[in-house]
Amino acid sequence: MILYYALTTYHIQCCVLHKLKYKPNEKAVLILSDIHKNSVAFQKKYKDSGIFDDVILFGESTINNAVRQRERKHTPTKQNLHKTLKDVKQALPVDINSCDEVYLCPDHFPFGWYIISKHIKYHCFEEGCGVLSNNEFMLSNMKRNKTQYALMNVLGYFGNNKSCVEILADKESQLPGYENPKMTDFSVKRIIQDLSESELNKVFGFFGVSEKINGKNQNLSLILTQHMANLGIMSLDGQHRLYTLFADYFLEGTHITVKPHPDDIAGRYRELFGDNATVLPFAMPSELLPYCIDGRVKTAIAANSTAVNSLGEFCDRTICFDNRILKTFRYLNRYYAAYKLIEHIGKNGSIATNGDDRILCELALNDNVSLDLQYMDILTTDNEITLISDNLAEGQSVEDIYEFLSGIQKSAYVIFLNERVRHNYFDGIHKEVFSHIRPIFITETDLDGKITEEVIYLYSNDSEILEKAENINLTKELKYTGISIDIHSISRSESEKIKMLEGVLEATEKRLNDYIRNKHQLDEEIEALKEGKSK
Amino acid sequence: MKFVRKFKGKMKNKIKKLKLKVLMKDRFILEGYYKYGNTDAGFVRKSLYLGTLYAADRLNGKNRMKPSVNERKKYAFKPCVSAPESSFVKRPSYTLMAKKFLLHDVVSFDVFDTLIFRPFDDPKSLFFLLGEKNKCPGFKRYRELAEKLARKEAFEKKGTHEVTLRDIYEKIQRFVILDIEQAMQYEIETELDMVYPNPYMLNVYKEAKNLGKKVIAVSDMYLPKDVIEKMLIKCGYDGFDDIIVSNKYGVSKRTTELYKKVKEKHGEDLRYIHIGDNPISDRRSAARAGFDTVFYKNVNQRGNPHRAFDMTSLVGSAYRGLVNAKLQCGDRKYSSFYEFGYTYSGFLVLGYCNYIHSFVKNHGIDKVLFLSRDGYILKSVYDKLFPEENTEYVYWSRSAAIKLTVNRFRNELLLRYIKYKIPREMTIAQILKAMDLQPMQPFLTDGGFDESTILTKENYEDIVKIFIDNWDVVVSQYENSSKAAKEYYRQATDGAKSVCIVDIGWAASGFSALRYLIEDEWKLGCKTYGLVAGSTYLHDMDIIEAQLANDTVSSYMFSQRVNREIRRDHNVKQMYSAFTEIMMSAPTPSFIGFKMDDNGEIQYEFDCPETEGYEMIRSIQRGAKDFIDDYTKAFEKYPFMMNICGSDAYAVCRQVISCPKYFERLFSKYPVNRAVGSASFEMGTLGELIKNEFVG
Repeated sequence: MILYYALTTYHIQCCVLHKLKYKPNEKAVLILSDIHKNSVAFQKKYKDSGIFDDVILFGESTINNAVRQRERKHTPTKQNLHKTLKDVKQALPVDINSCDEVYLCPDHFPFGWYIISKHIKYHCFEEGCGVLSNNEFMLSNMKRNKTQYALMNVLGYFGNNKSCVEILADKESQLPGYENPKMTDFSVKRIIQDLSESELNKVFGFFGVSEKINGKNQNLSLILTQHMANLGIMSLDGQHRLYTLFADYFLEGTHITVKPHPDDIAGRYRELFGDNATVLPFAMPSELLPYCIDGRVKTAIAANSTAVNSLGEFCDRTICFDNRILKTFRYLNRYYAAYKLIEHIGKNGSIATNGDDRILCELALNDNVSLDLQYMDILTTDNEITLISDNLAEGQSVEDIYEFLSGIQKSAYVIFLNERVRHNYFDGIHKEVFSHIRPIFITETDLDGKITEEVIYLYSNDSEILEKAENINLTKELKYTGISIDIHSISRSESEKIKMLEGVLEATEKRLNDYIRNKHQLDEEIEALKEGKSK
Repeated sequence: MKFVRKFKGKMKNKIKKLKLKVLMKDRFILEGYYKYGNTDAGFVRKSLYLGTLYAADRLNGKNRMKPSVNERKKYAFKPCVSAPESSFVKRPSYTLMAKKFLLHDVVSFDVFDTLIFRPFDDPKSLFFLLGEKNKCPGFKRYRELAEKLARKEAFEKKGTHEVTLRDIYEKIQRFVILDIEQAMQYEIETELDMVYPNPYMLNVYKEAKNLGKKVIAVSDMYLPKDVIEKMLIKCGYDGFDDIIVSNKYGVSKRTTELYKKVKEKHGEDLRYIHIGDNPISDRRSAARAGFDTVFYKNVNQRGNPHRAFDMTSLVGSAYRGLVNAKLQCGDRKYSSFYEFGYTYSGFLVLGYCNYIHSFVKNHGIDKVLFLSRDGYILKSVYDKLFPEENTEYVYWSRSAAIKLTVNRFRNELLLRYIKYKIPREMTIAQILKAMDLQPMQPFLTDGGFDESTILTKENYEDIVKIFIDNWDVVVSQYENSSKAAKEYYRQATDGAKSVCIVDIGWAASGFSALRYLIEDEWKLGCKTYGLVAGSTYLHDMDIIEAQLANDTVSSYMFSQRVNREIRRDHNVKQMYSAFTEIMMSAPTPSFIGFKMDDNGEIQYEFDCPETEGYEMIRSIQRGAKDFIDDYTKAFEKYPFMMNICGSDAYAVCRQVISCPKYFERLFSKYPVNRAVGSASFEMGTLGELIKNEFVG
């Protein structure tokens, strides 16, 4: 009998493919760790699919909790391991000695500790595609689990021990020059490619994909989500807003297909995108995507997951941002307004920004425009257009911005995104900047008619540019986010003048608050110095 | 270990009960303990103090009046001081709930106080509204008794306490003869009017639907199923697979029988999870019936220990219900300032605005002038509530008033600018600069007081004499300012025959000065009325006795004429007034005065802005406005609910202003301009102010 042990959806996929490809006629049992809640939920379905003779749930979460509890009580690691092995032995659902082969995916959880400690020969799958040679990210994650991390070298995770006879890994995806004598090629991508239709259907059935999406006649787009709310990176509302903004700004006019991350259980994409969108089962591995979509995808987008890049072959355009997007997505309206302003005024030279250059590039690519754009931490006056974010580089202050503004050429212009309402164009002293500034209003109206306003600012020494900016006027419907935005500049009416003055006042307040904070700090320092002297 | 824990819990409960018994014995002990005792002391000290009080009470034997439960709550229930109240609400996140649902086939919800809220902390308060519809005083009591009788009879006849609405209304005939059909219709109508969704549960429900789970609602309720269904649909829950109501089956959740019915109906082998707020019927019984459970502790049980209780039953219940639902539902966390605005300012502002409105209507007033800066939020709320009325926010301050009324209120100038500065040991030059009266220097020098002379108690009267002898210099110095102010108020009154001047309090000095100027000095042909939220003045308690008597000035919460016991309770030395003013603060600098420029344009002078506090103030105002929106929306069809009496408004204020610890902890960095309106900028914080000026 073959014994497979799997934790995450990717691991389960490895076991399924291995069984179908290499052990199709052998009796096999899949042990699922109950740490992964999807496994608990879908255990019956997995069993019913018939790929494995039995699918058994292993109560690893209780064992893992006990490890953590002992960790909190400062139990020595060896003692903790000893007790954990006892727990695993008690909870084991099968007699391991009766198994001919054991396949672990992964080997760094209590079940794996048991196999390694008891010197049972096993085969090990790599943790993720290419992770065998490049596991820095995984190790940094593992650091959160103290005992697990401490046992890494004692037990020799990832097949680095005597009990492991083989490591199944994608050779092509490893770092160049990486060699491991135990490594055998196991490429999920290539195995799926080689599967017969009936085998592929079996895999689809296993993961709950009921029908293929017809993309031939549709303008299809794809969103690969991540489970930010689950990881506590942002609220669920925030996560929803991120993807609706993506859909509104980058997937306009397409039929949206959403592939939620296997751990993105809470994302309510059917509600967000309506019945016209297709939401794929979250428990499905993304490697299956090219096979469940019939035709090509126009645009595939993800926040900062590189998984989207591996879909390049069947997508016309892939968009993947970096970590910055987790914060900057909230300012997408501002970036859009800035891009439209650049388009409206026109450009002849290069663009530089200390903000999220990726967003700007992708917005331009929507119109098939390739921007001559560069990211720079410290701003220089060499560029025609500069887009300034409020996230100034360390050591850079509002006074530096004034100096920068004083140095720009006549034909150049600067756009202040003003995301944190810092009004960095005004240093509290040089009021003359206001005569070179034009506010660009982004009025957002939601479905209930509630209006909110954001303002970006344009600075230029050229009156023609300022005049052009005054004439900008455009609207955009953000269908999925549920707002419409209206981008316009000032007219000569009194109310607009008041808005301008409000901006001045707001800026002055911010400056004043900075001074007050600095004063408090200095006062405290003086106080501390005095106390030091008196002692 | 389990036994020890259980024993500890039992002992704790017993001590709590004993303490309550002693406290509630009579008023002497209750007041002695809460009003004069140190509530921060440790357990032993507090117990000793309580024991001493008890002994003293036994020896003395006087003041043996038994206090009411609400009296105890008045003292014992305190605002949440350590952090924002909403930060203590630990509800499972939506992602965690989704994970839980993933493991179950059927998700079952309790309905009332879980999926939907009614804007009351006690659902029975709704019967007050029915009493009004049925034109029946005492209806609430009858309705409660009828339900009790109906349940008793049902138990005797059928062995179950479950009844229908009709059963209840048939029993009500014992007390009052009503058209049953119509009375039932009233109750259904009112229930439907009142319900609103729990925003947290709405998201949880959507998670369950999103995962394709079977979603059912299970309720122990006398209302018919179709009414509950309508309520759920009104609240946005339009996809329930089943709604199971106890009165249809004659069994309840409490006895687990209703859960068994659910299982019978939907399948014994399925995995069920139930979410509800009742520890017995939604947690214990559901678990016994084989359901996994998520206990959603009742928002009112969580929130009420932080709410004011010394209020009228109907409005008090509405206030508490709305605030509890907002802060305790678990939908989101708020800042302390927002919560302060939502919990305290909003109620005061709403009540005061409605009071102003009825005063304006009763007196046929043409225009309402809201004085800066306390009028800032009042004006914005008032305009939203009564958009048809003519209102204006006008610049005014004590320092402007003093200078503009030198023709009449001479002593004010001498007191505020000279006498009150004696302790600060200021020079004559500094005083004249603050008063903007440098032309007086030659006269003072002639009198022997040069620029460097320090003002003292001894030379005060001599200096005052020189001022009085040269009063024409003083008057002429402020003439420009007076001219500008006259023009400003001419435009503000805009031909109105009568105006109402609104301020927060406390001596109606703003109104008194403006009344003199508008009616007598400037002769704008406009009658003035004054409104204050509360009237009390430490130096002269009868300062506006006649004005209150002839109804020229009216006070909302308390004065010598209304709610005198509240006025006695309002402790100015313990900064009650200062704390109340924070509720209506504005994110603008203090106004100093008017000036007319060479072109005849009015110029305004402002003090240094307290910018550190503006974000806090904006948060407070957001909270206040949200409360007002929620309250007015909840009682849209019941406009009489807006009539919040002054004593109710004060009960809410009192709860927080009598708790200096609240301000010390949450508002300690709130900026305070110590020399507001005097053009001498001296910024401090509320924390420092409490430390220096609070008389404990």
